[in-house]
Amino acid sequence: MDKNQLREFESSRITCVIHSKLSGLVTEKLFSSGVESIFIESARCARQRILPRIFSFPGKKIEINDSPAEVLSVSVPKENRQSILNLIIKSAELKTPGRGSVYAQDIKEVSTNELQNLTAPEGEDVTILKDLSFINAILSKKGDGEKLAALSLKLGAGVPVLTIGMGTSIRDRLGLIRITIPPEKELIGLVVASHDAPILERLLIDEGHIDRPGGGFIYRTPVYGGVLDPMIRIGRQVKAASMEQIIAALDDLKKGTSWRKRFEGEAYRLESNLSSTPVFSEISFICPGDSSDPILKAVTEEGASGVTISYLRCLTGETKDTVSPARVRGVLCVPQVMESGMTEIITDTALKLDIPITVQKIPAFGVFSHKRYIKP
Amino acid sequence: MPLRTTLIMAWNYAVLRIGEQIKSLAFIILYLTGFQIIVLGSPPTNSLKIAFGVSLVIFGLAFFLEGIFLGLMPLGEKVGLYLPQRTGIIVIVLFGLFMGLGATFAEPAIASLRFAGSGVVPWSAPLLYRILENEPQMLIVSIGAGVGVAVACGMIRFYYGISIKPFIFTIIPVLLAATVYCSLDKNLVKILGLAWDSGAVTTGAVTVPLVLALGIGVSKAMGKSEGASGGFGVVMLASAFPVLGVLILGIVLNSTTPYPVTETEFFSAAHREKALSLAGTEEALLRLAYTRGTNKGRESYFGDENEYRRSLLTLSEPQQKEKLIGSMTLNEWLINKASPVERDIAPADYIRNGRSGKSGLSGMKNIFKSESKIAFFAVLPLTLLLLIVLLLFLRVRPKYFDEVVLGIIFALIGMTLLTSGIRTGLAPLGDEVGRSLPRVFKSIAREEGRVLIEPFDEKQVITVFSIDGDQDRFFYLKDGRGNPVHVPFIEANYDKEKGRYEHIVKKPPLFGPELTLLGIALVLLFAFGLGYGSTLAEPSLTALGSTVEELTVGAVRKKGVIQSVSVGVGAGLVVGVIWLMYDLPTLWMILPPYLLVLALTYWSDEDFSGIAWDCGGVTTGSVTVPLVLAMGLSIGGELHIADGFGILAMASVYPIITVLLYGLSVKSHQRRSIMKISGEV
Repeated sequence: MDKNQLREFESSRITCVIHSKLSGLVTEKLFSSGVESIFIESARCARQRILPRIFSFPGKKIEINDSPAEVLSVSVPKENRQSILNLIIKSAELKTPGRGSVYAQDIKEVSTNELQNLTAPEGEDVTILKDLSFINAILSKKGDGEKLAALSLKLGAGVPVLTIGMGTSIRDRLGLIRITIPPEKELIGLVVASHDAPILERLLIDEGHIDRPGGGFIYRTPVYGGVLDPMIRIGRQVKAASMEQIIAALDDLKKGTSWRKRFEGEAYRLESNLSSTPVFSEISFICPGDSSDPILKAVTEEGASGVTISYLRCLTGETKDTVSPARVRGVLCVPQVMESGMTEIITDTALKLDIPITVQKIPAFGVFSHKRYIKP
Repeated sequence: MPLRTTLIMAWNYAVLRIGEQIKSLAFIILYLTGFQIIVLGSPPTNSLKIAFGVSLVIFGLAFFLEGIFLGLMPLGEKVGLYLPQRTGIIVIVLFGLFMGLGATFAEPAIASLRFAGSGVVPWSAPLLYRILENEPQMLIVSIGAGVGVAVACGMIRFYYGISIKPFIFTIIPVLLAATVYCSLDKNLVKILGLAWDSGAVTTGAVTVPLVLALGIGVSKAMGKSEGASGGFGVVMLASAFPVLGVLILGIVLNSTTPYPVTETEFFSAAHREKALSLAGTEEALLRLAYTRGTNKGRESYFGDENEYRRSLLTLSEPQQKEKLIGSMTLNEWLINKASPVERDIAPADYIRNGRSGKSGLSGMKNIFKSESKIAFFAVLPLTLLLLIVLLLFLRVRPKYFDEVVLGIIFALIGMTLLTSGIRTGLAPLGDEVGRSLPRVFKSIAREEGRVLIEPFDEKQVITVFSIDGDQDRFFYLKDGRGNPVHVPFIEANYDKEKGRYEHIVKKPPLFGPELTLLGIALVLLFAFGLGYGSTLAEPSLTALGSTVEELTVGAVRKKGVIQSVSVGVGAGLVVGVIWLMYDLPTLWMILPPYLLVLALTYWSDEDFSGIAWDCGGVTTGSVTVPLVLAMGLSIGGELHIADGFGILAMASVYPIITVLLYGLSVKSHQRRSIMKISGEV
């Protein structure tokens, strides 16, 4: 592979979280519109389930219900962003609460593949919510995700999406004693209104004990817009429309979520670094499943404090593909000043070893690790 | 890193792992000892040895599971991930075949089968006897071929992304049809239990995680649209194909095997040629008459009364005794095999102490030695095969090679400790309870041993009268602790001439002389608890549960899978014990549950079908098999059923039902989250 083949361009990353039974529906539509490849990651969505108490005692029992989901991710040219969102929303009926969510993030991408203009069907644009933020919490201890998921549901923040990742770098430096530290990490993704995001992040830090040593890592990235799944509760519906449907309808009417802004009086409690000034960058790279090790080694040597890797499948439109669909995505957060250097290290290592690579970059804010806010 | 910090980290890690195993074993240990003390009313003997064995099991499980997760599974997954990328389907299929065969030769599942069939007699089940005793190599090859074909089929499934359901709906009806066909033949019907059990026991503690990881690797490398179900299904196939292999072996050997006859007919001179075709030599035939036959068989063998008596008298000569009854002691033979007439003829060799058996930790060295050899053969050949394929053919080095090596060492240590612990602690405990268990439902007193009192003074016998004038005579005998025990005097046991009294030690039935519902209920409760508790501690199930949780990102919980499988094994054992107690036809025990499983599979998700059928294969592992067989054989022996086959097959099929039901319940909950869909789901 030649360095000249790698190009940096602006694109839009569209992420769709959908029940695993419905993902085929969406991938089929995306391929028909000209999308070349879709990355899929297994996930689960947590929701509250309301049950009556035993022997009809007064009150209700609330438990967490998990449903298998898949996170589909595609890169599209910015000009096709709205049409692809329309396509996904319409094909999977995402306006109906409980079916899933979709959102677009504007990113910078470095890849050999140039994005082709897509041919999504024309039609009236679907109203999408804007001014959103994606909160990504990476928790070191398996099982801690439950508490965080329960909290975000309790606060009505949205439906949390839980995935599994593997932590590298710090663990690797310990020698064989590393076996005492489980490499599995639990990742929680939550898309919320930007105005509530800092306060919600603060609450998640407290509840998930991210402020304790070895607790984990949390940050936010901006979201251009999307449709969120408001169905945080499942159970018997006794009214003509659920509260979630009413909220979704009001969001549509108000063309945003600012009407439901809360935590106003508490803003003063926020530390400055949880504010919305991006000083960090989230760099994610996607490479074939068997070739991530040298890249991970290179970024660690360059000074990345930790990389979280997730296992993905890459679907292509080809019916018969000889290349393995197994992919690895590594995610790291670095100060913006290091962004270009780190990108170069990743691409250089990939070029040297002839590894097909895609690097995506997006500003990150509110980056928090244990005991302190990370300052660049 | 400072040494102190390293030690703290290692300590916390060890405490966590060992704590997990104490939790998983707590139920079965408390249950067995509780049942023995509270229900059977006798405290466990050799408590120190059992406690030592149990602690070995705890450490063994902790080491073995860590070894699986650090070494074996990452290795299997890596090979699975790279094989499809660097080779073609033919190499993968050949590798699968080779690995399946190797796994069968490496893991001593066949030992469990021979143990289960240790009481099989060649007159009532000639074909079964022939397969187990005369053709064990052919049995191993047919089981190995079955596992090999299964792993190869599994690889094809993952490579081409074929659903597991067509495999299930093809192989299971074929197996059921073969079972129906075999049930129509007098000889073949006897091997049905063996065939279905061999399917259950083949997938051992090392094979399951390796095959599972291999499947996940291939599935990750090739699976385009597979979700959580990718990687499952091979264990199920590895449980089904060996059944077919054994049935085919039986059908082939049946044409040259004599049909069942009565014991007298079998040992008669007229039938000698056919009998010798099964026993081999005259000496072996005579030993069969002594060790597995009754007095009728021995009488028929000699034909002549005098010769028969002479042979019984030779039992006092050590060399001749070895020839006739093998390693069995004369006392054991007199209690378990001899008729009252034979006991009179044969020379007495009574035990003076009511209890026999060595106590303490003696013999541990030998146990460790033999178990480490077994562990060595179970772990090393397969892992070496994978390592060679990975390093030499695929030219890939695992990222954490030191972890893999440490994992293999942990697996070796763990398996040695685990199997040694089971042999010294868990199996004797289960065996002790199992042996006492028939007292719960049996209506007559059980003979436990004989004590010879010499010299005996009849004048010391006391007579008691009832108000009707009936007389009973008794005397006092010192028990092991020196306390006087009231013993009824039986005239027939007193030899006036020699001045000695033969006291037969009997344990009375627990619930009176009648067969009680309470007794049967207790046996069934015991069976359920034994199955449930031993499955909770099964290492391959823990590995499967963790894999399921990981692949479904927690949407299906490890705890849920383990609990539903354990309940299934418990239920399976209940049905298995009912089968033994009422001697129900094998076909009717196998056909209905499998038809139900097929129906449930039809309604189930692809994901759960693979998981559930694999659960059926992993349930019967290193912890469950010895305990279940001990119980099955003791109940079977008490009811004069020659073998304990079939009970493991029940422990395999019922977990499939419970996991499929668990899957349907999870699915119904999950559906609520997308209930408003018009019809796609």
